[in-house]
Amino acid sequence: MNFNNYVFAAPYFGWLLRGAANTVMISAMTATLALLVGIPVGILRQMAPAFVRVVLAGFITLFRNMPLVPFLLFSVFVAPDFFLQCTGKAIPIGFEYWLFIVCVALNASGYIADIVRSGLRSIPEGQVQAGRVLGLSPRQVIFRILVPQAVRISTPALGTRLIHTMKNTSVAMVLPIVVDSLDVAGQGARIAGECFAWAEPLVFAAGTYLVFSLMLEALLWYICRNPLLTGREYDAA
Amino acid sequence: MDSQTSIIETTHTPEPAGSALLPILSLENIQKSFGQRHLLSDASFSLEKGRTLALCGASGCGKTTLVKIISGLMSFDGGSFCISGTRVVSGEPYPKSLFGTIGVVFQEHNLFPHLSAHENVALALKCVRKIPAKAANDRALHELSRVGLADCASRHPRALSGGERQRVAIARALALDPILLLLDEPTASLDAKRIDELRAILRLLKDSDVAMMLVTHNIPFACDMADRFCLLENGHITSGDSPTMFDTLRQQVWE
Repeated sequence: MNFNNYVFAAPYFGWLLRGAANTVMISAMTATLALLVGIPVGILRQMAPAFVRVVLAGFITLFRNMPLVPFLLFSVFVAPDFFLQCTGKAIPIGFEYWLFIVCVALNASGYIADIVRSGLRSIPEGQVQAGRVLGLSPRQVIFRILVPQAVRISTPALGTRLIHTMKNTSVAMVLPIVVDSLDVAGQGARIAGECFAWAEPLVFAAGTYLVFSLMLEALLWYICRNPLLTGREYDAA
Repeated sequence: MDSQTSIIETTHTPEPAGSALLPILSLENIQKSFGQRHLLSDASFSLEKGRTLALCGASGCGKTTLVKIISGLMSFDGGSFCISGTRVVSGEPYPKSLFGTIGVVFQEHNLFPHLSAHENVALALKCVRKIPAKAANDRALHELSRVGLADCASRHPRALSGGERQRVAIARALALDPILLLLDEPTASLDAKRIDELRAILRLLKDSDVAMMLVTHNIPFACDMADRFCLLENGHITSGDSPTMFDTLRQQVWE
């Protein structure tokens, strides 16, 4: 196989670098939104009154079980069309980018909610009882006793889910996103379309995801080394 | 068993003069069922300030259930009870004002593993009593010193022995100045030396007029500490103040 050097020259290499930067930005926004939605949903799914729990169980089931690509295609192609028919207004250009971020975040939040819930469920009931007899309010029991322990228990699984979410952002390449906003896989496909050379840009994209995944894994390892998360401090004599 | 009997005869505390005092805790016909199983049918007794009551009975007879009912952790099906003038009736919500006024030392201790011994004791002082951090920390240290654990204040529960954990649990309960202290199986998993230490701590509490209810299988310990003995059997409570109650307890629980 011949190596196409020009893929790594101007302007294409700049596209790849911009794609890598976009991957970081999209991943950061998606992960933040997923955590902001998933953590409260997980807590409320465990603690809220029965009606709210049923609604949130439906939320988790919907977003956890829906395949990501059909969900994205529906959100970016079908939903805007439906919106146009109902309101007579088209969604603004570039809005697909934000729809994409919201969809990937919602998909991840379903998993994150259940990871948080499993962390909460792993804490013995006796802890809640001890908090109640001490006079702590339900909110204090949740935030002073349960959540700190659940965070410690859930951190490795949450980190794994966020690495997965970062890699999921590569499906942006199937959507009609403004070229400047494309992630590294999308930029790779764009270069391949222009140069008829698939191997080099996609290997670069795969390498980029690998490097980012390893960096996130290192970050996760560093965070999990914190004695408060490992529980080592608990064991220290 | 002879040695157990001699413990009772030599250490039983005579009735205090203030037996006409209003009871801190008074149970009237408490009933509790789990499905078809009637665990508590007619549980009644009373406990006055500064007195210690020992509740004994076979495993699964409902002792811990009764502790949970009194401390508001479990609803009950019938009857009522009164804690320091506040009446709790079946079918009605447990008064919020009682949370934090009853100290409970659980069998499993239920310390918060992410907090140090000192933080375990100070948590409710800061969050419930709204005491400023410095004063709460000083009080927590004082309570830990009271149970002989000032040196272990910064250690987390997993780094403490079973006996030390239990003493932290006692310090945590005492920090809120409870009007009533419930101890569920306080001698479970403690060796003889630790039981002696616990006995010394409880005697100090008794001297400071704390009403205590001991739920225990350890009949010599119960008879050593208590002024009143209750036997829970088939949902009913038989109570007595005299050391001869020990013989009944021994026959029904141990033999």
